[in-house]
Amino acid sequence: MKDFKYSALNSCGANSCSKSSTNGPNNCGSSGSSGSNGCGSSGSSSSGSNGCGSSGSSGSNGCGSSGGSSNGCGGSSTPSKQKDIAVPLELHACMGLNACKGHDRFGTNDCAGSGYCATQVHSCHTLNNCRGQGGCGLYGDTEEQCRPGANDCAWQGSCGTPIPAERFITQGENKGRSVWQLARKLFEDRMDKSRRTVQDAPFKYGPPIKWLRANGRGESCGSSGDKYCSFGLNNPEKSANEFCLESSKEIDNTLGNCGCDDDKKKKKTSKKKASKK
Amino acid sequence: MNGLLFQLPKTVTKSNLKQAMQQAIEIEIATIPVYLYTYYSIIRVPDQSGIEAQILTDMKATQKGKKNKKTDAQLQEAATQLALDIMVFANKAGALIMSVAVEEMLHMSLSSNIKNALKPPYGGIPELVGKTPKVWPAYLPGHIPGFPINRGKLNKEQLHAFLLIESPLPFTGGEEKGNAIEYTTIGQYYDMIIKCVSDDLKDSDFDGDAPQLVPGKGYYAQNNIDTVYYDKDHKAQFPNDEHSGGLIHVKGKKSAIHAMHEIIEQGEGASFEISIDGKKDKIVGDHLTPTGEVVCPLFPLGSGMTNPLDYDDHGAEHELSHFDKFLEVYCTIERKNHELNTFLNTKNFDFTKYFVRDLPTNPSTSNYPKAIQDVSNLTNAIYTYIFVMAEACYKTAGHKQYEIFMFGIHKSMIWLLDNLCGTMAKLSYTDSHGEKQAVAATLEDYDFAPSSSPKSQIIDLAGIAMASSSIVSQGLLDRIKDLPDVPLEAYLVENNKGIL
Repeated sequence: MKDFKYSALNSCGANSCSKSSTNGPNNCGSSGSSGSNGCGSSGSSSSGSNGCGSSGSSGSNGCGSSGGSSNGCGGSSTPSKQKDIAVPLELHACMGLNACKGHDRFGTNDCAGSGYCATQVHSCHTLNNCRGQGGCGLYGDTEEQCRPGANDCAWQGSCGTPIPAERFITQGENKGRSVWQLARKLFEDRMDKSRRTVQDAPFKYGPPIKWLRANGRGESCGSSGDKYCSFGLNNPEKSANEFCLESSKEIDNTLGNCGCDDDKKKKKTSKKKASKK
Repeated sequence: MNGLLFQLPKTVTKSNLKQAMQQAIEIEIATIPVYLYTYYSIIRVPDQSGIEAQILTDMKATQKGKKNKKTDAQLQEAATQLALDIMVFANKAGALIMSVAVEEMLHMSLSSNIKNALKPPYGGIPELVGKTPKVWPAYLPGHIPGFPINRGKLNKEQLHAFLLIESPLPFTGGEEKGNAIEYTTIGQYYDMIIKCVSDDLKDSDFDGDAPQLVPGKGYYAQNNIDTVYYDKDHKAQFPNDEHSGGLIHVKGKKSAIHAMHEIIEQGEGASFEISIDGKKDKIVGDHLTPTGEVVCPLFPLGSGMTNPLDYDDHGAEHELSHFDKFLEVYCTIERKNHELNTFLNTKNFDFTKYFVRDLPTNPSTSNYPKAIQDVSNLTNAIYTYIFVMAEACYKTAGHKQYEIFMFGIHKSMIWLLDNLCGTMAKLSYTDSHGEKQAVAATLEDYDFAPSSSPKSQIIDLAGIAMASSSIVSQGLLDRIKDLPDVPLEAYLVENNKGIL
């Protein structure tokens, strides 16, 4: 999927979904059996729009009034020529978070983790219909924002889906860092526990806002405006790249702040206790 | 009796503690519609190129007929810079006001926690429904002196009222209003309660098992995307700090006092003590005169050049108090307008017009045309229902409380109410004189009928609004139908009955 290159500057960059990095197609069955939620395969979309609170004070969720051509926001990207799958096989929160072959938005991905985009769309905190659909970032407390795409239940998700590469955590020690990269890491851990091979995501750091816009998926959310934006001084692409790279360097620390290390330590401790007995 | 018909209580004692806690709750509630109304007057993300062009046109108009007028190049440079400044400041002003509004909701919850934890006769279920001021301008219950508070757009007059609300210093002037326990600052009011709790109560006067909004359940987050703004390089800034505190489970004297200190410090600031000639004294800022006039500090607040007499100089990471946040917005407007008027050789150039909607002051639903009334009624019903649900949270704990809060209050606040308030602020109508009038959400308490559930009435109101206006979408109605069904009277919330 080389068509979806972000830009010449992009380092939230497109992976080419190299076949050499896979073990071949995954065969999960066709009924969402490996899906992370228990919603079945229909009724995924709860809202046509994807603007959480976007009709609030800012009017639009862009920088400027109409896509921001004057300030560098919202420039066009190459839209996909593929059509959305009629009935998604799995309901998941974003690009690269699909559990199986054919489980992405278009139903054409080769393997786990390589899918294009979310198979369900909702726009805000508490509006997700199922388990694992919370986009996180932007709204929610520290604990919720530590679990993007990993909420336990309907309506417990923090913020909307899909999760743009530029979306950041707003609460806790991880504030200002990438939501998608945390979601991807949690997804990889979940797949690892299930002894599954995961392929690279189409974009290493998640779907860029420009790509989502070009493919009919607006980004969430809130009234503070677009993260991918410029006031005329900064280069939004450079800013986005820096954000992705910085978040990538900090991902272990991000996981640690979310207590993932604690969980591992607890398990080790409980194992030790068990072995003593 | 000493000849007076009645005498206002001057302090908080065991005998009026229950009333004092309810008054504290109502002080917090009174601020919420005021701050929210002003928030929705701000266009947080203006069209940069559009305002730059308008600024240039307006600046050129000010130079007509002047002897030493600015060149076009100078004006272009100034317009570009001002547009950039507005992009940052408009978003920041919105974020700061929202960050305060979020903490006012926290303070309402903390005071409610204390009241519900206090055993009879000292406490009881907090009364939250129908407590929004009914007459505008409103007055803080018990504040001496009284001063008028309006629901108005962002400007210096409105920010001045905000500063008086959050003032750490007493001031004179104004008028006396209300029949409540008197105080001169909100901090002084809580200090009276703290003294009563500290001196006169025992831990056994508290019931820590009474339902409260407690930490660890996801009810409260210091920051969200609406409290975030970007600096000129578009780097995200977070006005609230996790270390400033959140919800507190009140179990006894210590936690109750802790909760009240948190309210004071977030509102007025952590005025700290210094020792001068062996005498400890409180450091307080110099930003309000004894008569309540604002004095802007020499340097911008919140940067490395913080005024040594700020209320919150505990380190770079520390969160600004409500007072200092409002002072920063107020003084930025004052400085920037002074700078522009000096440059243009004008007197009344006001840059806020480029990002503040010209909303009416203290509007009433009944004054709007029918179609807008229908949307306004729906908006007010959802606003009021948030208080209905919040009050119910003090009747029930466990999963039911969680469902009410997360799927009711959160959904209503950040989705339904925000959606409707934001949309209404963009509406206008033509009055009988042919003049265009702006519209805003009035944030009045809706008077639910006792004959049916508030939720069913909200659904009916949504239907009416949909019939008369395209503003209310089917998607919005669907989300209203998702809300928990909470009865008007909190005591009717039964633990064994589903609400979703």
